[in-house]
Amino acid sequence: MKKLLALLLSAMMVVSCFAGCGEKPKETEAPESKKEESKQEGESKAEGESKAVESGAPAADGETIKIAYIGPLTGNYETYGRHQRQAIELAVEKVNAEGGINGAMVEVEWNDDKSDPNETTNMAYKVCDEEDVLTVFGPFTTTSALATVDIFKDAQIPVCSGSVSNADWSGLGDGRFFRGDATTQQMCTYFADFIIDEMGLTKVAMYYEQSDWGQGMYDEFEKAFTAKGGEVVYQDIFQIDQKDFNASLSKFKEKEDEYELFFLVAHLNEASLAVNQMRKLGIDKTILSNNSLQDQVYLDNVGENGEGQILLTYFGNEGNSDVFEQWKSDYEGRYNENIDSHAFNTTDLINVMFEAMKVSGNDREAFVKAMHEIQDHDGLNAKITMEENGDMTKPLSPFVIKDGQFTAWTKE
Amino acid sequence: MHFQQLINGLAVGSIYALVAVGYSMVYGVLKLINFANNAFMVAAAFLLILFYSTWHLPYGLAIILALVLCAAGAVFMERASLNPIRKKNAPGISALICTVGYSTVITNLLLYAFGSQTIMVPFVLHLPTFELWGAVIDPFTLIILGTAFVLMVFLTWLTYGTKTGEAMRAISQNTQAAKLMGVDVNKIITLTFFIGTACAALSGIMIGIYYSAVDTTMSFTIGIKTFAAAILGGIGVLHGSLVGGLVIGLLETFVAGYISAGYKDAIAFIILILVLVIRPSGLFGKPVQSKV
Repeated sequence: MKKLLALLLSAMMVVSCFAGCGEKPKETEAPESKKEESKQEGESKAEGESKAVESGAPAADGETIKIAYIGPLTGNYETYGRHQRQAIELAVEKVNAEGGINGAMVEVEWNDDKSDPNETTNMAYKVCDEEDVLTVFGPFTTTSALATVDIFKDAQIPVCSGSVSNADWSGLGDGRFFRGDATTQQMCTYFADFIIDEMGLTKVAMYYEQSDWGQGMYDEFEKAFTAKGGEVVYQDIFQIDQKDFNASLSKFKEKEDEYELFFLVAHLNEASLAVNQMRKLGIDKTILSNNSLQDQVYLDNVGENGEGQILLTYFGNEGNSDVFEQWKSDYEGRYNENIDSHAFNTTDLINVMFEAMKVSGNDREAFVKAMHEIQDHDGLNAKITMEENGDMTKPLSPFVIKDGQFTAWTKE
Repeated sequence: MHFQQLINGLAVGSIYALVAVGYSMVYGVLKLINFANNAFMVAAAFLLILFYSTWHLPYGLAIILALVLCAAGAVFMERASLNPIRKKNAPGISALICTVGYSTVITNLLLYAFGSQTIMVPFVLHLPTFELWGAVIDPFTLIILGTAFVLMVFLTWLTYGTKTGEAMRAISQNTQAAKLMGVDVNKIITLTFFIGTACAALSGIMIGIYYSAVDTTMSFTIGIKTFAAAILGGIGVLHGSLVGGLVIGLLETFVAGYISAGYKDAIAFIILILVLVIRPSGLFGKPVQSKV
């Protein structure tokens, strides 16, 4: 009896491990959301029959253009995956409502990789077997993207990622890889130009995250900044998930006379703590940061300690284009959630992809060619041009935190 | 500069010490490492946010409610899970894994309810920082130091100067004999969990106020160091936890301040290993002689 019970219990545990796998990606609240096909690991194929063609105006010849999304629809990065998905849904609905791409409806196939490189690899093989897919949208993280380079390259399928920041990635795909986010190199060039040309400062102290990304930012920035005649007079690192920054910040405090600007390269959680602690220690230098802090949560966390902090980013609370404001109100109205940089980059990229599709139709090689020829595309907040290696030039603009808002920065 | 780093180190150290006391109390009585301790520590800060910022309860009441709820949670864990495990004479590791389970459940509940982002912890008193001998001092640092010290004195008195403490030590030595002598074992163990967790919860709230923010990863990052602090001082010895916490806090601050922040954890733990090799039962722990 006891053995039976033990067996039963262990069976229950094993089964519960699988319980998560069959979950469908969370449906968004919007009523129109049945437009996309939610195909996941072969489980929910039955429900997947409602295709884009059914809603929107049907195309004359019933042709569809298929995009295969690969990204974290569940798991730790679920929030980011959701933002990307919402942005894609919104853009696809819009283009289909306007009659599609030369009459063809755009359809998205959702593949959840949980941003686990193993899963990404599986999804990549699956997608490469589907001949009707024009292009891949994804993967989300650099790790996932690097793990799938060869698979996509061998299949000669175009890949467009809205979030990979590793500078080398786009060069690895025989010209078929495109990205919608700035690389660390592009970012750092903007930072160096901005500090010297716009702010007129040359001495910077840098405090950055101990990670591939943080180290990359430091290396690239130091190179770009020194080349322009600036100097990183002092730098230190902090660890991911660090809570106490006082020891390092005390050193920044001691050397406060030597630098003019405090350059903080951090993500939300660490930045919130570090900025509050540095202000408490009495370091009152202007802080400059990257766009990962662009979040209402950050403003709430730092409160008045954040006042005057400058961010180089794609958009702010004010000073944006009309196209941007329209998109923002559409997005926030529909999803009841603030826009963020992932939704922003995704929207820019998918619109560029639509433009290329108008030229190429369902031909992969023509699509690649058309993507490379994108020039002065009207992005949400700036003109977008595709560079030779498949990276976008998308200028960052300075925004400053003023009265708890990201407002356009102007030189005093 | 040196004085500033000393203050920084003492502040972090006394925070570690307070959480370490939670480990030490339970270990002292039950020889059990309660890994749910850190989860309750973080939960307290989140509960404070919920009670004060969302439900708008008075600040003092919100703190007390958070402390009591966390301590009650630990009592529930003891009554519902640990006590039955003990009754069945299960190996000690079962109870330990059970506390790991509770820790995971609590942390995941917090993640579900509050998300993984850093959340601001409110504080009603506005204490301006002041300068002393070239160091900028946050008055709250002194409150943390004071609390750690006062609590330590109180707990030492409780353990060594009261009948309850005597019962605790009796259970620690021999549960069966204590029971035969008329000690209400269950009541004392429940009380131990209540006090130990309340200490951890209080330190969670103070960490939240000191850094003005809390997030769920604190459970792990601070938890592992406080556990190390308890071991370093000699787990089960209350003043050992205080010293262990201060030593680890000072060590990592000085390493970050004078060598590099990248090495601070590594060096702090290398020293911990060295101390344990030389004194396996910790700085203040008494070597255990087991008779065959």
